[in-house]
Amino acid sequence: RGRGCRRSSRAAAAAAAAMFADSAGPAADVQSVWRSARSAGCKAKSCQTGTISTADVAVQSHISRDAGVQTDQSKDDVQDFQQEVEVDYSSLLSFLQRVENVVIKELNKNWKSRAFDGFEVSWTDQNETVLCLHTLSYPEAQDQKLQVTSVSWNATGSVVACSYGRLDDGDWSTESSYVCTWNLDRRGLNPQRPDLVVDVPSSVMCLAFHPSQPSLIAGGLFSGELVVWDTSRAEDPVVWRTGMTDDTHTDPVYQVNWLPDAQRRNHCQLLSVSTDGKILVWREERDGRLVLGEGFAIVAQQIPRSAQLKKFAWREAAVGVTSLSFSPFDPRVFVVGVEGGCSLKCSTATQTPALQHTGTSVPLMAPAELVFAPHGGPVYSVSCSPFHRQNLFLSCGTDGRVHVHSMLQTQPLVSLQLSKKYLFCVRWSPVRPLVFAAASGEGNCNNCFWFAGDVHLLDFERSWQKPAVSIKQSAAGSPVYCLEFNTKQTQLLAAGDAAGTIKVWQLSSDFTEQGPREMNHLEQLASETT
Amino acid sequence: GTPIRSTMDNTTTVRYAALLHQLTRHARSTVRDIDPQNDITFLRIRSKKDEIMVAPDKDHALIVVQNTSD
Repeated sequence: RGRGCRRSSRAAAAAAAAMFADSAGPAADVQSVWRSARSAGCKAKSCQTGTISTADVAVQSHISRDAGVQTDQSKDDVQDFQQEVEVDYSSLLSFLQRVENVVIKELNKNWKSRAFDGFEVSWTDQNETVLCLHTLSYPEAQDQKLQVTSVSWNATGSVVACSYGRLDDGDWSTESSYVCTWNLDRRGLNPQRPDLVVDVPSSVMCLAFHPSQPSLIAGGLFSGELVVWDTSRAEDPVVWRTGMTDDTHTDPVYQVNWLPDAQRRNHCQLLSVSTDGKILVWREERDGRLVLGEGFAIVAQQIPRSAQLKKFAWREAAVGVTSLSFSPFDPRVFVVGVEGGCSLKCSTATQTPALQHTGTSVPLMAPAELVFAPHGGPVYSVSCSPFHRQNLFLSCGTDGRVHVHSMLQTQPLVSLQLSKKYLFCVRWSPVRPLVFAAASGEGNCNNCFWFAGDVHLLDFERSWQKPAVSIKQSAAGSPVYCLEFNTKQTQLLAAGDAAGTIKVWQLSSDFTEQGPREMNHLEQLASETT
Repeated sequence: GTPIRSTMDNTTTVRYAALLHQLTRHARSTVRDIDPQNDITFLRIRSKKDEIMVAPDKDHALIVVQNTSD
């Protein structure tokens, strides 16, 4: 039993030694029972998504290039696209060779084609008649027997302003007058109540809205001053004024225009024209004053003589300027109409100083370059055509005639006797190159002094002699002193008369849509010589 | 449409290219909608003042503007 014990103890010791010694036994691998049981039940049969083989073929990255930058009133050049595009010239060549014949055949067919002659499509509702849309007036001004001296549409075409004053007063007048505005797009427009009435201490003779800021309006007064009002300010609409300085006109201002400022963009200068012979350009100063920038003066001696006008004796006198119009194509060229009856072509780039006009802060220049054949009476209105490059312009005066001049020759291209009455205002249509409107009234005809004022619309496409439409402004017979087309809503025409009313006329469609060949007719008209 | 060559000034060219590219695509889809076997060969737009002609292709298009008032 001892031996057994020793053996067992030795075995126990060996077992103990085995138990307590470091041994690295193989890792025991135990099969997972539950997983194999589970996967035994299911087997991958088929996979719906096939293996996706990916390979980079092309990368769609974004190539951007500035085609054009639209910033305020500046013209940025578009980058030259020809250098930046990768062109496959051989395929381009084969393409061009393929299409060349087809395109040339079509081009040839086109200029010989008579298929579309006389084919016209009307996209807008045709309006056959001329309607009076609104009759606006300010009763207080009418009670004072004031007349409408000038109308103007604002930059957006929705507000019409008029100035009340007197045109038939010869004396110095200290009557106060009004500037009234109506917003035609407002609902609840009351024709007898203007949206804004500005009291002006002196008679306002002319008005002009700013070409881009819809609330600024400039007016020229009988006293020779210029005032700029801001219609958005309720308390004191006066923004700038010239005041009475040595520079201001000594005679009534008959026309005021806004000019784009060459030096400072987005700013405009004011130009005023008066019968004292001076044409002055004003710029705005900070304290609300208008300061003279440059000026021109028309003196009789400095008007270039022309052989046909020898019979008019020009003395050394200032020549009263009644109207002015700038050429839309060349900002330095403008046409003035003078009391002596002729129109002058002038340039702002003149270098000769004007005689006999000293005492102004800025020396005045003599701008006259060319004299045109005269009317039988003072010229009341000139207007340059917005369509023709060689600058056709119209002039009208108290002889009842309208002259269509080209700036290249002194004799008029067309001289129309529109009526026996005075013509106060003439304007080209802003949409149709062959249409213009003239306002007439007054006149000493058959012992009747007052004739019904008319607005005549002439269409050269229809007739060269007779007006296409003559609109009777008022049955009471007051002359029409001023008219303006609305450049934004081209079917509207505003006309103001001596009874103190402004009528807004809606023109029929033939006056608002340009015909297909009108520019050609205009060119033909201009190139004919009398 | 990216302009490659042009005889007009840059701004006009870019405008014509962009606008006419869209119009050509629309015209093409219109024709093919009506008859899937058909495809456009030439596009002409006549307006009051001129006529625009487009000769389209898979990769290129030629645009010609012709004045029609004589």
